Amino acid sequence: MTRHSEAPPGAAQKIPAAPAGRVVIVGAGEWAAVVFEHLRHDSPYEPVAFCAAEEQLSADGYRGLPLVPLADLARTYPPDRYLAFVAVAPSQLSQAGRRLYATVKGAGYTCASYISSRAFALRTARIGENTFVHQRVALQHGVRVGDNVVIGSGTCIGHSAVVADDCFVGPRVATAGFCRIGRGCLVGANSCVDAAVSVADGCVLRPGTVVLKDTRPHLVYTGNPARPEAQV
Amino acid sequence: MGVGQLTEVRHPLQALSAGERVVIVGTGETAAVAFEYFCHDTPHEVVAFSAEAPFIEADSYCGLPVVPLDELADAYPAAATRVFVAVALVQLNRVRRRLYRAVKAAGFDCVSYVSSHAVVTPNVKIGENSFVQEHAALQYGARVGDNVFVGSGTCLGYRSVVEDDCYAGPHVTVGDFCRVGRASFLGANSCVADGRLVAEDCIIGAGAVILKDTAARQVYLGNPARPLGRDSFETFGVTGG
Repeated sequence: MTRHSEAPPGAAQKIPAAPAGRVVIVGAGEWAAVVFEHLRHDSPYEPVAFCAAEEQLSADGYRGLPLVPLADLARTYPPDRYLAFVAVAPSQLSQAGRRLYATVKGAGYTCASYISSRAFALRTARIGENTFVHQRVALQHGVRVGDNVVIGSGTCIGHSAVVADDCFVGPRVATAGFCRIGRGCLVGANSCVDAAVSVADGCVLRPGTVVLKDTRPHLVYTGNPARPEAQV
Repeated sequence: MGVGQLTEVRHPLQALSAGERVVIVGTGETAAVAFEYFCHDTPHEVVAFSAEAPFIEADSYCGLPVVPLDELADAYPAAATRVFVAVALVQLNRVRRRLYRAVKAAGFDCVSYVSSHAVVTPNVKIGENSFVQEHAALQYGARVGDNVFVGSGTCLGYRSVVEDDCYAGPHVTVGDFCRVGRASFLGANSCVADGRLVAEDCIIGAGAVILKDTAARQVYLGNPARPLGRDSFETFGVTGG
């Protein structure tokens, strides 16, 4: 878990002071391009290359940077000198992305995390590795966000809430205090989760879903109040 | 002040000042939340916590002393200290209201907090002991009473009024020309259409969309919102009105 700021009580809050480093973005699709733009213009990290599995390589470069095969990554950009950011489509977070993240971690990489300079995070909030927090997000007091999580623009994660690993939380989502979003959930845009409610592992919340009671794992929920649609 | 972009138009409560010495009344999660915001986004110095004697579990909280409420005025004279009562919506805001009245009766002035990340038009009126979190938008002519909590990303439309002792969660939308009656609760992501009245002591559940005026002491859910036929005092365990 990354601590956002080591500032003592009373000091002004600073932009999360992650150590600057050179980053290889693992992925070469639209989401990798989004990550590239944010890291390049709004982070202490310098993206230096993209990386993709052999069968997905259609060119030598992407966005003006070298594009290397995954099999060559550790040789060309060794993990003791480079960070990684695994950037695959949020819809694949629970499957391909998780496997790719495990592969990259297994190769010894530390993964970077990104918090927009226009997000709001209290110093007591913590985020894991390979996590991406968009602009105008609020991470309130005591929030815990796991590894490999995306949090969309304008979303509020309420005080003492937990977002577990491998989640994609869309834009303008509101979670009240003490919520829990389980592992590998997809939370659609403008959904909301009432105070102290748990969304179980592997759930999908369609956009605009209003969750007032704990959900059961691996179900798709929709509506106000939320009702399960079908087995995932 | 906080991270990110400071808004160009500032509300007086967002202005930098010398700061006050503040005692936070409460020793629960809401008190810890208030402590973090005061420490990082205001010039105030939190000097102690206070609670009613039967509820004090330890001598200190967040590294600061905890003073019994009935000894507060002796330990921290009202002339040199401000108070913030940090209690959530327990008993439909009754506990916060009771403690607020107690500290006022003891002679204290209460501070209000408006996040540097909120957008608040300068002519918005905000009472005492109110708390406005990051990304809130309080638009032209809006009025917020005493002892009101406005959550993250919540929008109060033009000339809307939120009366004393209300609690609005995150991402609530109160349209233009609305009125939210005393001590009502607006859940996360709920919405009140333009010009609608939420009567006193209502519970508007998370995600509820209020398209018609509500009746007092009722619980509403859904889109469009419907009354559940439940009494809000029973739902939130209010005793003594």
